[in-house]
Amino acid sequence: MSLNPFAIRCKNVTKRFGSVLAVDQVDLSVAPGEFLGLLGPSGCGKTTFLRLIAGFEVPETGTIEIGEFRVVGPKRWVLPEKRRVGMVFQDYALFPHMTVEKNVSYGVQKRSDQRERVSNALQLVGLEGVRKRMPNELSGGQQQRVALARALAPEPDVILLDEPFSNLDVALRARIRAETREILDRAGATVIFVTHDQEEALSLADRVAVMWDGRIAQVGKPEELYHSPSSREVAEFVGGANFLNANVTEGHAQCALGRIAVNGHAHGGDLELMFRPEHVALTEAPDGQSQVVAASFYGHDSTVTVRLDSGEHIQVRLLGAPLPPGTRVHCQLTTQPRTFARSQ
Amino acid sequence: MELPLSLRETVRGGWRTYWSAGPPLPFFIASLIVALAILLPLAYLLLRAASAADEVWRLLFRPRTAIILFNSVTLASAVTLGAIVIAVPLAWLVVRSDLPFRRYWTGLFIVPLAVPSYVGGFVFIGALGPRGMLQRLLEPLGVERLPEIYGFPGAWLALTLFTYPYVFLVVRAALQGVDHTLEEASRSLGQSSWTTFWRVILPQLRPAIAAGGLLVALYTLSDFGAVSLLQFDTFTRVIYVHYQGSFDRHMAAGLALVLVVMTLLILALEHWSRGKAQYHSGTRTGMRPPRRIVLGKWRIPALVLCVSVLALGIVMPTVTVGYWLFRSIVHATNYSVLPQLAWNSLWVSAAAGVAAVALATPVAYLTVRYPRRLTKPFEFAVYLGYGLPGIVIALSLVFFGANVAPIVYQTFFLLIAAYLIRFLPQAYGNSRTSLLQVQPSLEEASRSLGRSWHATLRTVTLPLVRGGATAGGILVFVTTLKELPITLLLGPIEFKTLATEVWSLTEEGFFADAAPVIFVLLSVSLLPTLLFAVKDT
Repeated sequence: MSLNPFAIRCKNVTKRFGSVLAVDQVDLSVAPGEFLGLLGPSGCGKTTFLRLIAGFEVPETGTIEIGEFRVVGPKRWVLPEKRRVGMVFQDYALFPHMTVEKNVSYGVQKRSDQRERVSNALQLVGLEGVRKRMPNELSGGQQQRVALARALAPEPDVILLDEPFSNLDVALRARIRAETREILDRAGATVIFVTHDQEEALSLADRVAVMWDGRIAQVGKPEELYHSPSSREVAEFVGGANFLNANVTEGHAQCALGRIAVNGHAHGGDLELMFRPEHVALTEAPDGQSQVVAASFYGHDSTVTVRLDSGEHIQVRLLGAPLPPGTRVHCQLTTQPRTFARSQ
Repeated sequence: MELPLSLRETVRGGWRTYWSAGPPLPFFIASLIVALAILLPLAYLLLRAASAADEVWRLLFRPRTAIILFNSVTLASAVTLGAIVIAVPLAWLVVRSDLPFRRYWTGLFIVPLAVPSYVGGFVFIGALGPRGMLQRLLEPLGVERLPEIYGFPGAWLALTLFTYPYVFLVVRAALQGVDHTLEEASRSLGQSSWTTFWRVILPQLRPAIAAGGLLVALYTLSDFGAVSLLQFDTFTRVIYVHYQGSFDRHMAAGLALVLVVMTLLILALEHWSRGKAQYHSGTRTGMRPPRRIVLGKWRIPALVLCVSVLALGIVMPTVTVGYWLFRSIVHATNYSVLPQLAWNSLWVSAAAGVAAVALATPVAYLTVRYPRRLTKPFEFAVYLGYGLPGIVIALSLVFFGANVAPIVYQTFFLLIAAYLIRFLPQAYGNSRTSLLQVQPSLEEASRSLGRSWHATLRTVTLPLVRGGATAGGILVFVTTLKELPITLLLGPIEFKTLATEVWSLTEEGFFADAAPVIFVLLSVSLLPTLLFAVKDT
């Protein structure tokens, strides 16, 4: 497997439901041992894509390879049970009529090392103590870990997680996320996990693929995605984003915040500038043309809405307490903004 | 890592992948066979009637047909109206008033549901008929003749008394679902509780009353036991008479078709009313228990109503059966035939129950897991038989068996097939409900853990639906046990069950001989019938 640079490779995968194009010519590769987040709003096709890899849906076109084995291609479609793909479902899908132990051993029956594998898997997720319990006697976090252990026990080449944390309390979520990542790292598995939560994707994944209307809009490291989104949609979906109209000439943009240097290969004409709320420095200025119009305090930080003299509004993130509405301010960008073609 | 996979067993190509990936193909074929088996005999009846259309029309265009139609419609309407008039006040008293002993009334009010209509017929003739219990008790006092019980009055009273629980159960459930903040809103707007009932509560109950009423109408229209014993000429009785006369089978077929048309009309009505009823039936979570309305001076009339219904629906049947049972013991009736009757009833019913589960579950699996436009025809076929009167199903199979498949005619195979056509929906409904509770992700989890679809079915799906499917089988068993017209028409020669024996002994006036058979029949069927009736609502 080490010779193969890909654990999963999808090419031109398309899936329709009636007239709806759920997955549209998707190309995506995942390296062995990589932890890939598939991020997108609900209904963007990300779960369908996961189910295509697992073998629960049949695509119209495209090829899917898992390791060196082509599981989907022209005149080829491998049954889900032959794909060596582990799956953790959103609702966990634990068999309600089996104990924790039976659930975990379900995928490794008739193997000589069955007992050992079950013990290892349970040990990995730290649940040896509850092996005789029924799924309904477990907490949500425990159920999630049983689902993980069950998927890991057969030592699959690839693990797919479908919104694995969405059924957990917010208070539990951060801890379980970190634990899950650790467990999967120790197991050395290649992972794709689906989420609609950008914070979850950015904080957990090695690489994030943003999916939009059935297509992959951008793939990259979390920082790349945040700082250099490839489109207005990605920018808006991954974190807060401000947009200002601007006229660009010779590497400089004229906008409501003045004349600002922009990336050299931004072409001239009417464009939009994008920058994050934390990339603006506010200073109180009694004669300033801009004014704070709304403020929300969140504790360790706060967000204020500023109306610029152009009439445009931007969000600015401040550490600590906000400036009260009515305050006149001066705004300055602290980084070079991205430029996008004007929408409309 | 080397691949422990043989390409031949893992790889499938083309459009067949969709079907070979899971159960559909075998299940599809099984469902197709079930659907065809249900539709064929009925289609055959239609074809036969169409091929002899001129003669059928000539037979049907007679004053006598108009009389039968009039009788059937009158009886169905009168029974429905009677059931509603009895059931709605009872349901309201049980759910919303401070009626004493409320908890016990509900259980008692539904008991008549478990009494088959031919037993109802027995009760009325055996108690009030010319040689019945009352006549015998009053004879020493010089009473020679009681008012006539045969015909419309007897049939109406018997059917009303044994069908009102259908309306009661539906209306009771609806009343429990009524959001009483609406009621409180009406009161706070200055309306009295009486006005509130008429203007706020009753309109919300209307769909439930309609649904329950149509159920009663359907039951009455398809009833054979009560009308045949009480000698009131509705479609079912006349069809049977013509069939028995065997010289006039075309007439029987023609009348059966008219009955089918009427049944379909009522089914359409029922379907329409149910669609409208849906948004009324939601029970919101967090609803406070309803405030009970104090009856005050109305308490006595309310109790009188409840007691009279029970007197007619439970006490009279019990006393009548008890009286004739006593006489049969005193006169040392020969009971030797009872074990054979019981055995006959039990084994055909058990066979029907098992076969129903085996056939209904694949259809249910298909309709639950696969797109409705694909599986809707199967569901339609399964439910078709349920709506049709037993005598129509029996007749169509008689025609089909006698003319197309003489090899199965008058065999148990055809008898059980008829039971299945009629009662398959009961098994189907139960299997479907329990399958709906098995999320598809459970099956997918099993597949992704390396199990084939049949292993998944065996280790995950079936263990999870076993309970529900078994309940469906028991339901079919109990209903078959009480079934009459199909057994009468299709049973092999000399094959008698508890049900047919009750009917023929009652028809010939051997009440003392019928009583022990009724006793055995009810002791097996009473409790399960009631449990299922309560569970369904």
